[in-house]
Amino acid sequence: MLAALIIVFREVVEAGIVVGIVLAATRSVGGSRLWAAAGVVAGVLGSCLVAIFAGAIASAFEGFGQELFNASILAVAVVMLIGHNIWMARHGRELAEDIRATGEAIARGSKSLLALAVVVGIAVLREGSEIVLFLYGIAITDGGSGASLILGGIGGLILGAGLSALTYLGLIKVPARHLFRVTSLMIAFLAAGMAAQAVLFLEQAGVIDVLGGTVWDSSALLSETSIVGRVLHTLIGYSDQPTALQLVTYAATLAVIYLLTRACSSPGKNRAASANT
Amino acid sequence: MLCLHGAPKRALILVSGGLSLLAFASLAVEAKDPMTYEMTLKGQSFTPAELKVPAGEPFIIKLKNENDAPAEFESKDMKFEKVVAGHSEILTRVKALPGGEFEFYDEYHEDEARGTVVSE
Repeated sequence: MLAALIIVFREVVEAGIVVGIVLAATRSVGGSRLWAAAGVVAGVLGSCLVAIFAGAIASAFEGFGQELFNASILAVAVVMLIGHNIWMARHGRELAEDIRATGEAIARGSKSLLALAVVVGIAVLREGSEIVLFLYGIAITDGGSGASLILGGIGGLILGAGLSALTYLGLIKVPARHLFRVTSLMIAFLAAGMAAQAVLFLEQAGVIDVLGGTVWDSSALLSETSIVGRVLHTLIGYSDQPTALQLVTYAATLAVIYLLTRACSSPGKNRAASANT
Repeated sequence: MLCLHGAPKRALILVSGGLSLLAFASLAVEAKDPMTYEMTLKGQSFTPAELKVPAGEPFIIKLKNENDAPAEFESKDMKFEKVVAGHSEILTRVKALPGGEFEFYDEYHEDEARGTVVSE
């Protein structure tokens, strides 16, 4: 049971943190919880679909369909996160200033909320399909002992939800004035890490074959697959054996977000607020 | 994005254009196909459980899962993690390894279903 709990928890760490950040980032935008919940539900349904078609996905593209699928959905998430930060750069100040016109903010926010719901959905989908397959495997092979394993799995899910809550509660302790700056920064790093991860999948699929050398190996120091490693992997894109291309992508994503949020922030005194990434 | 004007927009177009070119170029110059090694997972055991490969050369593992249950073929040492549905097979690319032993396993049965790649 403990093993099942650990396996499932390991898989939900990333989704848990992403959901927490998204909820905090959109805290004062009306309806954000509903959107996040919709994202989770869509992610779970998507996970089941991906699990059902796991064989077909894997054998697509000459056996590298899984990598290309992962790279694609990560790319979508990165674009959505960048879009959110641009939106924040334009409207974050109004939201932070205690929302002069809440109705207006909701209307304007819906596009950004959709983007973040997509991000939540993708975060859930990525690891969710593995959990579904794991539980399915238990169900069809282990029979009697399956029940305790499934209990363990549910325990893992609850822990993951707890991690969401912890992330969220930690973030909303940040004063409202700074909250958007903090969440925008976190989202920038989240996006950069996901972009680097997408590149790794493309490298593994053999689509990209440049700058593939490993730059450092810190796996002995902090393994990427440990819980702490996974948390850092999600938060800042930590990798214990990054390739040169991953590092370049990481830096390029941060640079693009910085430039775009600067270019898109409202002119004048908002400049300072936009320089947060 | 609606708000893009002037320089940033051009920069973005340049960057994305450059990246796509890079992707294309790398497709074109993709190295010769690496060696493929076949492996099967049946019950909780991999066959062969010990795979010998030459050091310094990238290779591909073709894993066939003969069980009804899905597995997750994973290796921390070799950096791969792939789901293998029941009765299906997948390919995993492994980078050139230095000499040594590298473990792999089915993450869903990490304690029992294990094997080693020996690179020499």
